[in-house]
Amino acid sequence: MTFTDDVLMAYVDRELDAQTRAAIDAALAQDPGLAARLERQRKLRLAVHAAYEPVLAEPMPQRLLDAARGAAAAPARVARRWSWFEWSAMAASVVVGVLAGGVLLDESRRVPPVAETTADFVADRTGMLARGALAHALAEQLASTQAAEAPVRVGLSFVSAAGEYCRTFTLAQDSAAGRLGGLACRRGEEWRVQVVAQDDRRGAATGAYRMAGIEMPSPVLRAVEDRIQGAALDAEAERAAQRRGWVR
Amino acid sequence: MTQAEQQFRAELVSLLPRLRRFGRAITGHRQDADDLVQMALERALTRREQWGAGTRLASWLFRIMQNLWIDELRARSRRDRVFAPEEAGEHVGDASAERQIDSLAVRKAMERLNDDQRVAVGLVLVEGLPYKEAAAVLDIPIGTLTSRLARAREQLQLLLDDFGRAKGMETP
Repeated sequence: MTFTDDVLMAYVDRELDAQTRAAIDAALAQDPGLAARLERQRKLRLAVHAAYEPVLAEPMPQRLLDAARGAAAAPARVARRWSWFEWSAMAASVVVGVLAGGVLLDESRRVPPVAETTADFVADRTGMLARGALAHALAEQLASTQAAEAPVRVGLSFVSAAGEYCRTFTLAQDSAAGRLGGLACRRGEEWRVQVVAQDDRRGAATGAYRMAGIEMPSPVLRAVEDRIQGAALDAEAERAAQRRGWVR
Repeated sequence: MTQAEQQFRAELVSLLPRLRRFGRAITGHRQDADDLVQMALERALTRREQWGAGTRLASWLFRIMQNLWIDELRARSRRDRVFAPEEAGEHVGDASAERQIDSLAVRKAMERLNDDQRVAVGLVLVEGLPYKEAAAVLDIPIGTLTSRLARAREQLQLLLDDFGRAKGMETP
């Protein structure tokens, strides 16, 4: 009597009726081939189960305990997660309003030198440019060596389909607008900010998606996805790009 | 809070480790899995009255997670590859290095399955649900479930055989 793989799977899953099970048990003794096939199924089942078993022993994040006890923030807020603003000249005033002290709108369209401003962004006719600590971090900081408490943390660096270096960043400052994350790409001498997203759950340190160990709102991830060409830079490629001044 | 509510929350807490494990199996990422669990818990708490009698609480939560995950995947169908890959050897526990490598291979192979297959494997092989319950979670006939399971296992076996051969070549 031959048994299909589907039947052997049901056997190791303990889903067979007693009669078929007995038939297999009886055949096993005379059929080494069957025994080997069954052993393969059994091993696969064990291996898959074992691969996820360690998760049970991992420390439980407090936020999940809170959520199970209904102690977390209102559900709708968490479901909404990140609110965001895709940068465009039209949206400039909105973003500037929201970011309040974080942005300096350059009315004269002349970009002030870094030393003159502590703002992280300035807007010009074509969009938003990185300035101050943000511009400095984008140019100099390496994801592999940056300090955990750095005011700006860079995340992924990659080459865009347009052939530019792009880097994601998060700002540590916990402004009235919440924490900010974004994506900037190097064009000429400037870091052009493509997307800024804001964590609207103020003070919440968990729950956002993480990328390379840095919290990154999903609009930023989508912006990365839209632009990335190939894989993200590894530590070595990031260092090399930084040495070349982010010029390709 | 009523006693029933307290009881419900206590049961959710006791299910947490399994919910995380199932989340890990279907998402392949720690943060995604925990976000998924958190959202499912919140949904479970606000829609408690929808939990049907005769359904185990775990199964109901798996169903919620699975539905949320499908929504999430639709929202960002190609996003996974920009995530930092899970590192090898991050487990808690004292599994041997060999077993960690095997486990990593299994998890990598799982990521290669299609979403339907991965969820079927997560419910039956990882969480140990009976076919009938797993089919109910997914709202599909048992025959559909078992055929997804069978295809998934063939695929996993092939991928793991490949991995085993590659490993064998490195260490003659």
